[in-house]
Amino acid sequence: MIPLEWYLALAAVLFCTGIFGVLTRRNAIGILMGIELMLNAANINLVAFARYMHPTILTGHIFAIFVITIAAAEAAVGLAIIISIYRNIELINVDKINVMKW
Amino acid sequence: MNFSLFYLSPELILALGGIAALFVGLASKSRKGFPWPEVFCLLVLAAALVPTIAMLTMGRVTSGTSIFGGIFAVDGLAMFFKIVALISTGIVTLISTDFFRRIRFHRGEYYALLIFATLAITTLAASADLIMIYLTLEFLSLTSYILAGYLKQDTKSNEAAVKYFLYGSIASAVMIYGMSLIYGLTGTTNIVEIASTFKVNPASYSLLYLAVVMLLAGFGYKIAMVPFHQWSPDVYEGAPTPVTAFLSVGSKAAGFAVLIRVFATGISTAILDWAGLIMVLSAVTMTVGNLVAIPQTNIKRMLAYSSIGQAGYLLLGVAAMAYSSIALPSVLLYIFAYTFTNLGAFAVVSMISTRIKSDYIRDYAGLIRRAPAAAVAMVFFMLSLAGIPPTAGFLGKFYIFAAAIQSGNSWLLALTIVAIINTIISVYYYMNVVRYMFFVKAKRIEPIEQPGIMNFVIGMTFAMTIIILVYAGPFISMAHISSGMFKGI
Repeated sequence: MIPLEWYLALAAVLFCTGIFGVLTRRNAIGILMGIELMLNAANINLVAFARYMHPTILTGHIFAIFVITIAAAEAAVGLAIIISIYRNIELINVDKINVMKW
Repeated sequence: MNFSLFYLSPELILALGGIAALFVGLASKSRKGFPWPEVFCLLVLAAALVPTIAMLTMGRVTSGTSIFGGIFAVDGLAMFFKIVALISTGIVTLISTDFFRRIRFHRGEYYALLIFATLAITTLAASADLIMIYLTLEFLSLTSYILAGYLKQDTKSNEAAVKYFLYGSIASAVMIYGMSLIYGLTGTTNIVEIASTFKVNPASYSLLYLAVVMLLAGFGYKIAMVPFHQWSPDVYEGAPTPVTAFLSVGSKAAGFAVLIRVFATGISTAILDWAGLIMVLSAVTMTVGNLVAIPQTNIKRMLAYSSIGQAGYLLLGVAAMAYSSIALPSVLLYIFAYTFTNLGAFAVVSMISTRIKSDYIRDYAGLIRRAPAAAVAMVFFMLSLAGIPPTAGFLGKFYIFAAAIQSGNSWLLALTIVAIINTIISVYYYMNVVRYMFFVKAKRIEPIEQPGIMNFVIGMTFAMTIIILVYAGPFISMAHISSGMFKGI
């Protein structure tokens, strides 16, 4: 059986990939994809912990399902906001969305 | 079973009221007639306020009471923050009626979202389970994103929504990773069980510390704590002013509710000594907030940095919770005073800005001639935010500093000195607004129209700002009762 550490390492790598994407992408949708990676890293953690440490309790699975649901809602709201700004300035590059600063 | 439904009644009223508000909005399309959506929103909030106050005063609530298998706490802390949320949204509704009068927008949906955001705060204040905290925090965030971007044609409002959304989702993604670590360490998501598990088998220090810092990213983002504050000036400036008022009070109070609950009940100082971490964050938050507020020219941005500074003072109270028993009541009292003061200030800003079509402090010049009542009230709001008597802010600050000094911890004493220096700095930029309003000559002198509803809002918040200090007894005892019915450290 694959040891728990491998899953945790996968989750950590995925989380760092997500952070990297968030910090380097300049496209709002690219950032959104990075955020989804971070959420899925947490999901892998939750399910792996639930499977290996507490196999009889389903809390971790339930938590992961809620995270997936929230991620969908977040993507819906986020894309709606991005569309509404695209309608006004025809750009979704976050470097150019800078009317307000300091 | 009937009993637990009574415990849930504020949330049930808000949930049903929010759905009904959508239909009320549909039915009253005309902007001329009776303002049904606004009135309905106020009625729903008032209906939810009645059982909440009843629960707090009738002694039905005790510390450690919870329903639904421990995920929904019914204690003094939850009730206090529910009251703050309901009152502040009520005031925001009144400000909105004036602010949106000349703007075409979807009224029914706006007030429905406002009610749902309040529902999110009330459930967040009561959440005692990591799953519930995550769900309600996201619920509050998602409604706030939409509210911040509500003026779809306005580029600034769009930008506020995008920035709020991106920062917010990153912070909550980091927080959920921290939650997954805590779940892995304890095998449970219930806060009380987390505490008891950690007491039996302590976790590895570094891993727990990492998890706590990640949790703080999510909570700190809600309360605009440095280094998770970058969104707040832009969002405060770009969002419609009533929404800014909501974010600066309701949303911030919700962040403090969950922060206090998790750190006082779940990860207590016996498990991990977080007081030092919070103290450092408090010092940095108040200093950054107050220093960067000085050069601001836009009043909404200035109030944004000021509210970052206020979060710093409140964090001082949270850190003192580890050492002093009067720290929690003082934090609650401060939040109560801050609620009325800040909403009053935003009411003035909303009323003036929609009429002079500018958010710049320099355009407030000569306001004493153009809108004398609002200008005088604004002076007291600024005094209260700075913590100068005779205002509520003084009482709140006095209590927080007293709690920190009473604890006798030398680090807290040092932090209190930092806070006092910060208070002195903050007087400068608060009084700068007063200087413009009173002593700088205006380019235009025609009076600004003050509608009755705004006179009412400003008068009411002004009265509360004075009353909380002058007639402090009931408010102090309310803070003590609420915190007494909360099982903390």
